[in-house]
Amino acid sequence: MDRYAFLLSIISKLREVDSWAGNTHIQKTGEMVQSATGIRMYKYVMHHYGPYSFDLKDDLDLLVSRGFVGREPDEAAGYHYSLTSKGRGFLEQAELDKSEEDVRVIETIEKIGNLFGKSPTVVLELISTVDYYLNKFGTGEEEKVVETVRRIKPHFSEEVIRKALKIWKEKVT
Amino acid sequence: MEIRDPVNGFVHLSEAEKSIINSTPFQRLRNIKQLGMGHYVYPGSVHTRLEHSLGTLYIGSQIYDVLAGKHGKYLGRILPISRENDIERFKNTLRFALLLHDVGHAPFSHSSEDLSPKGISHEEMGARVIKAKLEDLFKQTNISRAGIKIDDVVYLIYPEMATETPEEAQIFNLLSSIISGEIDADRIDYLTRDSHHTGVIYGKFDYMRLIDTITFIPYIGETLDGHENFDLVPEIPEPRIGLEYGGIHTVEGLLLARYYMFTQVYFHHIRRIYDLILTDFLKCSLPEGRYPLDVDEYLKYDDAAIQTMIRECSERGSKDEKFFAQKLLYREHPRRVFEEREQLLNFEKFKKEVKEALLSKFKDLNPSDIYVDSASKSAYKPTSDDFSIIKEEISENLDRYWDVKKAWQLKEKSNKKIFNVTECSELLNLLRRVGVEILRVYAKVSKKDVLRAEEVCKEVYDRLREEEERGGLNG
Repeated sequence: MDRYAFLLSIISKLREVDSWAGNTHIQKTGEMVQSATGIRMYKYVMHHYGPYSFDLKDDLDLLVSRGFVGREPDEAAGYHYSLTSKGRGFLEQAELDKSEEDVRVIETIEKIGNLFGKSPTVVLELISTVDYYLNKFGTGEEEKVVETVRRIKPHFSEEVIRKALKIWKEKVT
Repeated sequence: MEIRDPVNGFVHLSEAEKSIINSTPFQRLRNIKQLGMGHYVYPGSVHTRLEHSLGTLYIGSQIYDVLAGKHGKYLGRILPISRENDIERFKNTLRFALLLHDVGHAPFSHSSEDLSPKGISHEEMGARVIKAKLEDLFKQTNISRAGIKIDDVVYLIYPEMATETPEEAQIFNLLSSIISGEIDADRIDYLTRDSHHTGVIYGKFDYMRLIDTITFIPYIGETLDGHENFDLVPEIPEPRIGLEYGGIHTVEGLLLARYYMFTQVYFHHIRRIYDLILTDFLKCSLPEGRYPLDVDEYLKYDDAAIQTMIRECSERGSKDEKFFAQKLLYREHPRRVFEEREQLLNFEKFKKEVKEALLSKFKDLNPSDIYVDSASKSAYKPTSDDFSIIKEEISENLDRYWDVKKAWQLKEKSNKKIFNVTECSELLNLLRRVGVEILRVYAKVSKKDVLRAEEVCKEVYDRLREEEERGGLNG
């Protein structure tokens, strides 16, 4: 699976579950899928509000400009992304020669999409930040993860951060 | 101490900041041109990263003062500020980071950035430089007494390199978005400065008004739907940088300026070809074909050092070194033979196939005389913007609305006070659709062969485009 098919699959799933399907949804879903499967399509760094990939943003902009993805401004906030017929055709073609790893990635996109696709951006930012620090510090360092996320996102209570950690561990990993 | 800056007037500096400015890594910026090879097209653009760093310090401090002036009285309610003198400490830490945000730049700025050690960004290199070379300066009494920590400055520039996440990480993330975010000091300064020095007046916009309308927005996400799934609701809104309603035209000005500067300066076809030739020269003349990772070794390279290498290699270098050095010295660049305003998804495939096609058509052509370039490879490429706009009457009394429920009410249709930028400006929506996905091919062909070369490139482009639309990306 190449990076474009990866992105198109994420957008397709987000739309299927009636997600907002904006920039944050695509960014954070990408991060969570990479983390859960171990694949490394995009480099993520900790940015202002959570893990962020500049390369993913570039690819998304390119897919929009080439007409594979539509980007509609929402009347209240941000954008909604969706596949165009060209994008759907591209994805159908890519699905014809799936490898075993591709199947695993697509299953994970399904799972993450079903779980978090409908969540608002603040929740996605919280969960992907928890996940990012779990990967960085290791699973034995959960207290350090909670403390770090609390420093970055003090608008969430410690209880909510612990709940996010529990959800991620129980439902995804 | 003050320094006269041609763009912003006087930039005032503390003694501690002066000691940073006088340090060797900062002085190196005096020898790194802001626009890399831009002076091959715009002779006036010989300004450096040093001036830009001072300008970014000036603009970033102004943004901070505007935010502190508007919201200072109740900052403790919306941010985890516990001590009165924290506001001064945050400002000073921000000022150090603004000064040092480009200290890791490679020679000729973005022109030779592709050759950074291990592909790391200049921000990461900057964080490495600060940690390796400026630690002693940060231990000076006047800096440490003010509570400024080297690790906090590093966090503002490249968080991954900080030893640990600071206690007030949320505040530092906000400060970091003043340096580099949706509406930031870096961009405001480089657009106005580059415009001033190139003489391309399209880059100018009313940045003073823009700065004056910057504010905090109570961010609670885009929708209430979905919270019920996991019950992960924030206790209070998260502060983010946004703009007051009165600043819309200035942000239109900024984004138009960015668009014009991109097409006229940053992605000018002659400027870009010299970036590419310089990169080829450095690939064959630098040890290992890229800049070293070792900080001391890295800092030995600046524009002057590279310029000396070019001159020496043009006479005594290897065959390849001579070839590229002489092009740079005598301004001998291949012609632009093809340009498309729509990018291909598989740039590498296009690059390979178009080179093969040109070499087969023009038997005298040397592979080193063909260059394929894409705007998406440019550090300055415009991206889509996404930030919020708030009505002045709310911005002026933000503490009254710093509550999740009240912040939601501000987004309700009947009494809307917070908007997305896309709702407020048709001009910005239009600009977003224009795009700048430029694809170019250069080749050393005679004037009379340009059209033939263009046909060759077009045939490859059309074929790959058709393939891509059918979903074929292989190769």
